[in-house]
Amino acid sequence: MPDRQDSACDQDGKCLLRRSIILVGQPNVGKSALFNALTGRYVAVSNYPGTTVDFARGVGQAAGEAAEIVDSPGIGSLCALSDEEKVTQALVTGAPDVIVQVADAKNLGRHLALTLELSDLGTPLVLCLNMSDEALARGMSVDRQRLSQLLGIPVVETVAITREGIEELRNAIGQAKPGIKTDYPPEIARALSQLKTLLPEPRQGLAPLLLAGSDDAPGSGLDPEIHDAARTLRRRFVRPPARVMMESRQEQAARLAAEVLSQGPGHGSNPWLERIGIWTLRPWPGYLLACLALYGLYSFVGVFGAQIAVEFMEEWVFASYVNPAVTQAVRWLIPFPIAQELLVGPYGLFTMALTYAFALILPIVSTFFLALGLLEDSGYLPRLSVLLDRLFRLIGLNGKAVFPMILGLGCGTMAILTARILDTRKERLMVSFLLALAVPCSAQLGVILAMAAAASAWTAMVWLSVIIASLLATGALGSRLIPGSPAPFVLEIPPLRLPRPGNLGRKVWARLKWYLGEVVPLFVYATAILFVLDKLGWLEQVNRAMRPLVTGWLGLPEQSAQAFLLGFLRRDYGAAGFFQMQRQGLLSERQIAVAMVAITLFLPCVAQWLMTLKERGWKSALTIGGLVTAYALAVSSLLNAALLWLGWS
Amino acid sequence: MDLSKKYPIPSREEEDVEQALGQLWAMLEQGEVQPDAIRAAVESSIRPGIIEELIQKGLARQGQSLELTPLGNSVGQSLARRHRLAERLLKDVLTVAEEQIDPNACRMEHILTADVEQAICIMLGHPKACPHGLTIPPGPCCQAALEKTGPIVLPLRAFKPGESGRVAYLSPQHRPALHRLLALGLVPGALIRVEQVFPAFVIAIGPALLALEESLAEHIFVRRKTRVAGLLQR
Repeated sequence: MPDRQDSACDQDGKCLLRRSIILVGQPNVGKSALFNALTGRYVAVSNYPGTTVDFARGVGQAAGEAAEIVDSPGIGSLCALSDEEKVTQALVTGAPDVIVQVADAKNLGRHLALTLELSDLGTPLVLCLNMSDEALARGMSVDRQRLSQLLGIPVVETVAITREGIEELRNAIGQAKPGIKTDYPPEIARALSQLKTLLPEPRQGLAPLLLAGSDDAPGSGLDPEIHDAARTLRRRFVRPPARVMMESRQEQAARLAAEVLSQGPGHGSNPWLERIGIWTLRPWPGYLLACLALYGLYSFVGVFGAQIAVEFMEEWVFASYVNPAVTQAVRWLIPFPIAQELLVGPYGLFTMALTYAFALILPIVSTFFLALGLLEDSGYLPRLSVLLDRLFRLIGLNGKAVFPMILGLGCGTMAILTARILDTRKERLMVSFLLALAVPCSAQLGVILAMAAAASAWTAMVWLSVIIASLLATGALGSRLIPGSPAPFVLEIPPLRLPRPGNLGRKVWARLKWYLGEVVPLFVYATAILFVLDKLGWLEQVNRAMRPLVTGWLGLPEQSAQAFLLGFLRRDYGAAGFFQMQRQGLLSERQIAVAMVAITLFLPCVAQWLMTLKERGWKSALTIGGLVTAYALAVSSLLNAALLWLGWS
Repeated sequence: MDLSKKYPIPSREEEDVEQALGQLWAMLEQGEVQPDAIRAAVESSIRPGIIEELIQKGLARQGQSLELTPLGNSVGQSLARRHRLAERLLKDVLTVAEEQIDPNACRMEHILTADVEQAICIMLGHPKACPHGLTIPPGPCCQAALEKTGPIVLPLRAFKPGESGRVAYLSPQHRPALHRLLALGLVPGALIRVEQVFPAFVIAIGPALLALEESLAEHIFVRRKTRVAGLLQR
């Protein structure tokens, strides 16, 4: 699920446009929605903190000319903690022309603390109070003019999702000004002015960040002497200067907010939604609602998508109409048998690749993307993470890991990227491992559910228990082996909102477009490779080479080898291979159970593995790869032996 | 002054010695090791020659570095404890203006008897840190159970769903988590309401809902809204 692409900028990030504008703000205030409104491009918008984990660039009109607009991951304060916050820290300190701070008018005080922190940088700033409709519904109104005077910067109100106030924001960007400087206690002010004498003129705004002591990221390219000076200054303080500065900003922000905020009687937001929002957090009926939500997800994706819709597409649309028609057309148009076979043979691009992609996988991913979109936009996911925090802590993670794990049920590649919202390296590593091992992606899960539905209930139970036991056991073991402890769980819970059909539709469409654009070609390449291997007679050899493993250890039919090969290119493609074999009656119950477990546990697809490599480094990626292969092989063989011993044929 | 027999109002001399020991103790606590720097700081804030006086009285000794004797250490630590407790009392219960806290605490620390010190500590709920975040050395009363005394400032963990209060101070061990809490609006003075405590703590700060795990709730100290606290605040 690709949520970004670059435009107007070449690969080195150099841009042809005059002005670069960065949207910055705390998590879940609507930066991405605003980005979409300003640029007309689409990046994913959801109702949970941490949707955006990497920046996205686009071009939009601002102050009467085209400008580069950058969407950034949410940040609490500029002292960065997690990887995605570091992305924003680097963007903001990298001398953009204008910073637009996006804030939620409902919680003005704490957003103003960030405004002051951004002000200290000395970059021209605009404050954009987004979601002003929600604030209004609660009877809160902000004296914008007064706030603008006090801060010395333009202040605009917007509702990004309905594009209210967007034009005003475009104009305000032209009037962006460096805001007021925070009033720090005298000893801090003294230290800052000392640091400033060491800093080159345009980078003096970095002084507070340097003094706060986020050693690593900001001020790259600065003299190491400056970092030393900051360290010496820091040592002079009894209390950490980061905290003293933060407190002064908070205090001033609270004063500012008190001066401009007035609370009238609100007509209230939807009282039912609020009540349900509280229910979903409580153990009772929260856990029941969670089970219902999961059951709903299963019925919609596993039953409706993977069975009813797949059956319709495959047996009716493809088997009765498309494939016969295409086969006839190809036979008639192309007289060469080899080309005919490439297109419509057993490893044919139409009969295998496109049939798998459109008839088997497309209905499943469409239903899954729709269900996931509903979960994301309603604000249910953060609530689930509260309910599951304790469970995740058993395996060395915290509730926040719900986000990458649930997204992993959609697409593991995207989920690896989302692991950035986790605070410690240990947690990111653990999640990457578990995603590779035991979290099937939507397409694969859909096919597996379809296999389970066609097999006996026992088989499904065996699969489910082996996968859950694997998650818990490897998680608990890993959390003991990898040093460190998970960061404490802290998460803001957004209000439950009714998903907007427009946003939901755009999101599902953007993800489907990605599926069609990136995944379908992969299916075609993989099939072409298979076709060539088959023609050269190498497929036979590969099958033979893997025979002791596949037929001996795993007890599967010989042609399973190619399903494993395909599985590494696209995990759903591999699963689809087994599904096909099952439907042709080639698998016994035992073989179905072993195949389901093996294909779930075995290596993820190439894309996910490459993303792991990029995000976690080659050492971790290789280790994860090795461990997953060994574990999958061991558990699948043991399962085969155990089932044989129990008398499964 | 005859009164000094009834009330332990120390002489100027005694106060200086106590003050010097307190300052010395605090500097050593903060990891200052340069004897010259310590000497300069203490002598400039009290009077020249005070360090020699401490050494003569057997309260400090000058070896490789400047350090306190066991007696000097206990006087210094006890002074630091009384100073920091006084600060908490002034800030949390009496809500004295910020700039008045330190000068008052500096005088109070010398006149608090052990009984009064313990009474304050119990009322505050055995606070762990002063308003500036420095550790308050625990006294004998801190080992005693908290439940019976009904402290005014409680860790958030002791709150029940539906109770509300104002954040007094935060002292998490995990510094990044502290920053995140502050950025999310959980700052001293913020009015909060506990929505639920299981499976995780959920608290409302204004219109915002914040979830945090139990271990953090132990380090967030909240002044409970009670009738007594309300009266004191007024």
